[in-house]
Amino acid sequence: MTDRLKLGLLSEKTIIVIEFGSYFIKCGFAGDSSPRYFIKLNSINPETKEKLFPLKKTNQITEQSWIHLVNKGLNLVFLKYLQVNTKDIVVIICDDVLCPTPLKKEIIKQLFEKYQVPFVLFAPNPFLTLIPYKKKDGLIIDCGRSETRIIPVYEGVPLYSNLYYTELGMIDIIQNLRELLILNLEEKSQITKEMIQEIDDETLEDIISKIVFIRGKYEKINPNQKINKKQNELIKKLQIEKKPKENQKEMKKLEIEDIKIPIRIKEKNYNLIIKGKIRGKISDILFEGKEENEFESIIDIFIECLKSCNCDVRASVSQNIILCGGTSMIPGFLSRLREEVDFKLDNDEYFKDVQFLKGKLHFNHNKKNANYISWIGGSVIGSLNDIVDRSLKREVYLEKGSKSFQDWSNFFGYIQDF
Amino acid sequence: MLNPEANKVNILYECNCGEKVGVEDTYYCKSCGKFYCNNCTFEEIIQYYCPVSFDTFGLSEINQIQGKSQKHFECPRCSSQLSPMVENQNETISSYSLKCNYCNWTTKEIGIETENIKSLINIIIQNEKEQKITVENQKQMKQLINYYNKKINPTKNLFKYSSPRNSPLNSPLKMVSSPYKPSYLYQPISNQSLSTQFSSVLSNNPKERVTVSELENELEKREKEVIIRSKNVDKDSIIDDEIEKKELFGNIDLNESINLERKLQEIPNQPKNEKDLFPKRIKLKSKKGRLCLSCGHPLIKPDLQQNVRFKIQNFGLLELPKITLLNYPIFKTKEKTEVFIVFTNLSSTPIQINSLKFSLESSLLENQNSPTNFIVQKFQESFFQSGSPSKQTIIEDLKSSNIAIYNNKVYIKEFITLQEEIKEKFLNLRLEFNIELEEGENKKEIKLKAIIHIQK
Repeated sequence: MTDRLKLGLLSEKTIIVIEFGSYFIKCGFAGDSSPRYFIKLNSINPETKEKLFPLKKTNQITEQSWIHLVNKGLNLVFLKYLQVNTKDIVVIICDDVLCPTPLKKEIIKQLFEKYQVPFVLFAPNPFLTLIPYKKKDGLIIDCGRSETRIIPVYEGVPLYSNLYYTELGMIDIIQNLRELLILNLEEKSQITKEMIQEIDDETLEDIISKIVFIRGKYEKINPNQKINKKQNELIKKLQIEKKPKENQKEMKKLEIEDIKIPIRIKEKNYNLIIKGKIRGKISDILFEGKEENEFESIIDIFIECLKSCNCDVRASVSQNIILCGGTSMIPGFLSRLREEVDFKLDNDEYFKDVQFLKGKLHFNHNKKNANYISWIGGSVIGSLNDIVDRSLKREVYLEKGSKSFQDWSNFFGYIQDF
Repeated sequence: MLNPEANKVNILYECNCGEKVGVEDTYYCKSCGKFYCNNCTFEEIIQYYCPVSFDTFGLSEINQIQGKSQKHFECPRCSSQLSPMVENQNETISSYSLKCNYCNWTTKEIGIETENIKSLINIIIQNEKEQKITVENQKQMKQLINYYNKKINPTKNLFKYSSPRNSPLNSPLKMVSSPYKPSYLYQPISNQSLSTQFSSVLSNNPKERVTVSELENELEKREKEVIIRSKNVDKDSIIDDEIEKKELFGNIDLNESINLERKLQEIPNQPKNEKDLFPKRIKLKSKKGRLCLSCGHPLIKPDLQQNVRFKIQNFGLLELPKITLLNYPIFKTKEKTEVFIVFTNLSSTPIQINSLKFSLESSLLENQNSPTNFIVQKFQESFFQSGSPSKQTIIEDLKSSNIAIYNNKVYIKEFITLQEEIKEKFLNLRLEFNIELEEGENKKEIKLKAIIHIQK
């Protein structure tokens, strides 16, 4: 039976889209505008007691832990959360750029051998993030939990040779919070340094999501900018005017207040005070980098990536810069990024060649979807008519084994048509 | 009284795939004649049901309901079940709302209060469908899908090259300027345009030729022109970002704000405050069966009616003997220790055990003294009247022989001497034996491996 005939039979079948992130597994059905569930896995393998997360290429994890991770993850996705029979579905997996190869092999093996899925498609993440924007060229800045990655995409082809990344993410912001809390402890407080070090990463991340923001260097709003009605109302509430000079005076009036947060440490309740000075500085580490480990900041990498691109690539890519990832949802991220980039382009001699880009970069940042933009791209591809033709078949895998798929997902068929 | 040493002994069966699992995770396939673990079996969903009312739903109905109940809701704050509440304002008028008995949240806080329960439920379900974000997102998704479906339409490409004149095979290839463009993009052009673009490089006159560095400079100039022509666009996203940031400068009411985990359950809204939360429909649960991966025969199949029974149940528990230790052995180096192993039969047929072998790391175990073949009787009701003997009587009986049989249990004694000290914190005593199972008139012999995991 040809694949086109099978298409008719499979047109009513369910198509599932899965994205294995470094902390969450996002899963849902194709055609939906958002994933149904964000699934969090245990970070430690109970048998071998190895740390599984964050998922990185440099992590040396044994085979048993990969098997355990994939086994549990897919079991939760198919049987507990989505509740589907796997013999009649098509699975699309959003393939991360730096996905470790043993993870990929284990996923394919379990999908075809254990769950008996008939069709599987691996789609590269950078290509999928551009689909909601209906564009073929773009520069993708993915700020995740463990690292940030910047990769340009030209004519739908991800340029892996120009990929740059640093190991700076939400984990570093959490550690920075911990250090700043220890430095700013009052003498009379009931909480000690040891107690702060015992606080979970999860509670600190929760605190960050509620009260942390990123301060800009120059806080102002462009007076010539057109503003909506809703924005106008909000500005009136906060008593901000359009003129820059008066704006600066009122910025000084808006002092940042200290906040008391109730915390439970060792089965006792305490009040943790986070000072106003700290709240805007916690996430500065992303823009300043770490001196100890020589990790470059996001901005250095961003400009180097632009510099490394070919001139015809750079012209089209700089007009569509997409921010995605969970840490990019911290308020103030975009404005700080723009300011820092303009500042570096003016003052750093290393980036002289690219100085003309100042003020001409076009950013796209949708905060509500930033966690799962690539998942949306997978959902769109899953609802297209000829998905079966493009996917890897179970019969082919059972004949050829690991030779039937490549380490880097090849997507030229779609790129040609789009 | 609980035995504090009970957790130190663990008995596991070894599957053919190498996995070691307890008896509760084993299954017996009659067609293959083997015992399997969880990894060698395949789970499939047979039926869905509501965990509150136990109404059942088939596989075809689930897509319409989106896998959620139509009548029952969960609290947005603590996700426990909401129950209806009545307040009588007058003798004739009464108002209905939903209330959480755990955290005392009510739908009155959102402003939902009606005279009928049915209208209450309808309002909540309609609100779920009509939320602005979901409606807008669904429209955008449809537009995207239509946009890309048109691009992929295969008939379009066929008609493009209908005549031989238009086909790419008859025309020369264009030189691709960018190395990143795929080389199979054909575009028919004439020789004249080629000559005008690269005339300075290709010309025979050396004065007209241009160097590569000059070409690069020209390309850079063109790049700057392209970028300067594009407008400097500060989109709404930047202003929204700054406004959101400034809202956080002041004092924040943390009583109303939501945890990160809870926020990620409310996709796509991802709200920050409790005021924006809405009651959700309770998710349906499913009844699952198990199939053998190698032959596809069913191992477990639940009953489709509203009960906890099984139509087909081939659990390993029902066929395998239960292995336990009578007491916790304390090992000392170069001293004999007695180990008492108990085989109990929980099935309705007697179990024949053949060629029983004990093994440890070779230097640690002496020759086996215990018997290798014996029968474990099936359980009978008369055993209740006779009662079971005490530990002391069993140990005294085993002084004279290595085996003792009581009702549906067989007690075996074995001596173990440790010739070297074990550095690890546990000791694995391996058992290998064969079981004879009856299937009608035939008998099957199955090999099994078990491990008694003893912690020091």
